[in-house]
Amino acid sequence: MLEAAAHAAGWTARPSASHLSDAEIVTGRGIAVGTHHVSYGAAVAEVEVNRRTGEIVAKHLYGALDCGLAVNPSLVENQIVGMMVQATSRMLKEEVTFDQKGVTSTDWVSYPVLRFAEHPA
Amino acid sequence: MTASPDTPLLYVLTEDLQLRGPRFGCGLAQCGSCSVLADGVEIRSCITPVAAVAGKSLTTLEGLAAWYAENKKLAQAPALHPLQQAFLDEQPLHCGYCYNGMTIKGAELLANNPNPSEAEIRKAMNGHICRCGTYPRVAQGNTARLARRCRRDAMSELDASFSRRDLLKSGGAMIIGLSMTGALSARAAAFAAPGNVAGPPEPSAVDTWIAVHADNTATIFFGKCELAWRA
Repeated sequence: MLEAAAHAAGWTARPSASHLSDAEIVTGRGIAVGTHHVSYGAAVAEVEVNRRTGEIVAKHLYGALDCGLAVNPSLVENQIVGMMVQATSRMLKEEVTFDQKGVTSTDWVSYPVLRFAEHPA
Repeated sequence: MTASPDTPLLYVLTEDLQLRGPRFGCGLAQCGSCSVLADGVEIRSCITPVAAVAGKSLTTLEGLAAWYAENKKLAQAPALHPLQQAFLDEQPLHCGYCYNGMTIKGAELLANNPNPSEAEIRKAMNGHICRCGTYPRVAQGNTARLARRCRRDAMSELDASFSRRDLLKSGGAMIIGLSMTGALSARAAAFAAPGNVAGPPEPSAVDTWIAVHADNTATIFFGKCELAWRA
């Protein structure tokens, strides 16, 4: 799965921290593999970081999934895309907030999730 | 029917008029699942009092095909708006809760801009939240595809049938159709060939069909489905 995700992303090996830049907006990439029940999945993320504002943008994600027999490949693709979007949302935006009385995340403003304009391609 | 002026439009649409297109989501105009068109402009019906739309022409998901035909000056309305058809063909949706708003907003966008860029799509659709993560497929595949389709003057229902059947044949898979009611049921019945249909003969009787095709693939239509998997 790692190889499939790396292949999809056109990954080429390079030493860590060999792509440093002083520009305001810098780019980076990451790769990971994981399991859920009996499935293996892997993903490559290409991100932009604005070093001045701290804003992070997930530009492109590439996913690979060994799900077993794919009865409906289109639905499987939906799931791969969906989990990459949800993972981006969790990493960059989602956080339950509290005050001394309880949860203060009560709607889509106080609990922001990834929006349409922010989705990785 | 009558309603007090401050009644939310959504309540009148879903409870008094029993419509099933617009949906109650957040109730705060934040998510977009309750969207309808008022004089062709997308509004959030959950926070709009009925008094605010007095004298305006309202279009819900149910009337979107007729609204499209009126705009395009078509002699006859297609069964579905091209965007609804594209969503059915391409199946980008998961749970479908955002479908109403995505369709209403997408139809508004395409009426004003038949060939939107990806940036224009992202900007226009940004007020509609999808929790399943369907944004990329809704934006890239389908809206581009449907933008092409919208430039055509008429949509034939056969387009959908061929698309699904081709998918069946090429994939050799069983496709499960969702939400086949009303006009959709009639279409579903029409493209399950005579002799192949095992199930109620009347489209309006029960919302269930099974069609076994010559190549041993099968199409099943029913009103609701839950897909689940366990180890």
